Amino acid sequence: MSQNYIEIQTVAKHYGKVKALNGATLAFEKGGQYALTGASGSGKSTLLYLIGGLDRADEGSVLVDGKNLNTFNDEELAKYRGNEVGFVFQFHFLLNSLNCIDNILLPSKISAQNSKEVEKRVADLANQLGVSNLLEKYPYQLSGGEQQRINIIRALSLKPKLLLCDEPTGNLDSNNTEIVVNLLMKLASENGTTLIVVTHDRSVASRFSHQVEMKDGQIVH
Amino acid sequence: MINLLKILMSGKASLKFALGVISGLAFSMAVILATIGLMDGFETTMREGLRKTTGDFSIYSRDGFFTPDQNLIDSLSDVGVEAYSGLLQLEAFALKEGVGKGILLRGIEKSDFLNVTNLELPSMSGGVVLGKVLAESLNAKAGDQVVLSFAQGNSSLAALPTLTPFNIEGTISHGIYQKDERFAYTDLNSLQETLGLSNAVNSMIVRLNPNVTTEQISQAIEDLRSRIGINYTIRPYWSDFRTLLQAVKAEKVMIGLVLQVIVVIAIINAAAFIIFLSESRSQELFLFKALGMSQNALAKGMKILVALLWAISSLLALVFERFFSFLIANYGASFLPGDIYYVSSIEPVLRWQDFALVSLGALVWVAIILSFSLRQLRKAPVLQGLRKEFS
Repeated sequence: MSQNYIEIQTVAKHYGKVKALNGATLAFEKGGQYALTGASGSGKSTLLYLIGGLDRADEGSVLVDGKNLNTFNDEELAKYRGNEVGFVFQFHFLLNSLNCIDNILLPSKISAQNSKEVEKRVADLANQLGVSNLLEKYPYQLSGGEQQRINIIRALSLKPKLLLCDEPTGNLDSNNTEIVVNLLMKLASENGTTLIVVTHDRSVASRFSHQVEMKDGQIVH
Repeated sequence: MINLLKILMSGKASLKFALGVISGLAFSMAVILATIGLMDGFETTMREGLRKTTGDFSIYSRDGFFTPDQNLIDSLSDVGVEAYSGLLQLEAFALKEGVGKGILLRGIEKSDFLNVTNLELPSMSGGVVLGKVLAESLNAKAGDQVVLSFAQGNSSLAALPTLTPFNIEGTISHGIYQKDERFAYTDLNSLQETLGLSNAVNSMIVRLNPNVTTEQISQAIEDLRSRIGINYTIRPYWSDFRTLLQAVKAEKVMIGLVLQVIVVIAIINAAAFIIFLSESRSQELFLFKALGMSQNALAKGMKILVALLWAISSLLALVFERFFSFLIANYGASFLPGDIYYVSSIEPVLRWQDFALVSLGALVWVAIILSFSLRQLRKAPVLQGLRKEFS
């Protein structure tokens, strides 16, 4: 019997008069790898951020491991984001004021986790992703593909149970897209991490065993 | 936390702004501290000056001249008097080269007087020691001669010769302009002999222990009054300037309050800095929140940063205050005109209570502004903030 790790139950989210999500209902299995597709404005990113605890649903509930995120206060939600979720953002969100290794270690410093263990893991990941020589550089010194790999290492540095990626290949060429998708799937699989990737790229979505299509704030199939 | 502070303060603009805020806050606090210190210094200098002339309190007989009897001596001992000195004080005119000045000539026994007042007088050996300002106004210096003309209002002085020449043995400064302008000292025995008064004096000055408070002095006076009865009057050292000292205290409070306006202006700078930080570092702040930093942790970081700014400002304010005090004590203001000021020079005195009050007052202002800024930050949704800042 499959185990639902995340359950989205008739979730609605409004931004002013715009209905970003309109009664979406969906479930994600633990360790599963999902592609969320749909046209721009279909609500896929909104759903991703609700699952990641970066925003709250107006209606319905988002259950992660049986816990309703809507009932979490700000502190609990921050703890959830820090301890259970890894984000890979389309625009990287790397701070140019810090070098790459400091950017990568930000989540561990924020969560006050064992730095030695995290540093070892980061070194392994950097080695796997071929960016070991870039760790002392600053983000503005790197190409888009390199920045995205640093972004992925940051997201995976704390072994999150859930890896959420918002258009991780949106700014990459086909070669880098292939590399990044392979890495995400491989690393998630190795760690038993549930992977949810938002993409509008059909070729990227086709790589995933589970594909969820959204339209007008609802799940199509 | 260190990482957060490092990021918040990264960049030259942040550092320059922070330095400006620290300097402004420190300067405004220093102005208040220096003003309060100046007023405290005025009060302290005046009290010290007064004690140098009258000890902790003075005793006068209602009969005029008197010889201290055993009952009086025992009573003084009973109320904790550690030292006393009999004085013969006379109104007189000092004349030198056509210049005449009204003076108060005090016949003293030098070692007793020193024990009570700590005022080290030059050796008198039958001559007189003049107050510093008095000597200047008579254009007199040690070795010169001055003629004293005594008043003849008392029958026991009726046979006095009107004019008596004295050698000037030196000058003395009490720290109070009016005393320096009017007081002259001579040897008690010589004066008694000159006036034919045997062992009589017309006042006594006494000292309790060196660290005595004004309340303890008042209590000792009450005790002594109950012991020696109505034949004597007793006046504490501050009685001559009681109203002035009260006025200085009231003025200190009022000026302290008014000068809070300066702190408010500096605090507006601090507010601008907090807003600048929130705006210029909002990318970092929203990312920290997205990566799991709680609002409380973020608030704690901001509070530590602002507390650091305040602490550095407070320490710098102390340095500024010392600098201002040095200027006040050594330049310009030290040459106070005697027809306006009571003390000839002031050294500002900064009490730690005053520093704590001013410094904590600034902290309260900063905390109020920070709480508004944190409330704004709490209200902003993480996702919208991230999208806005990284787009």
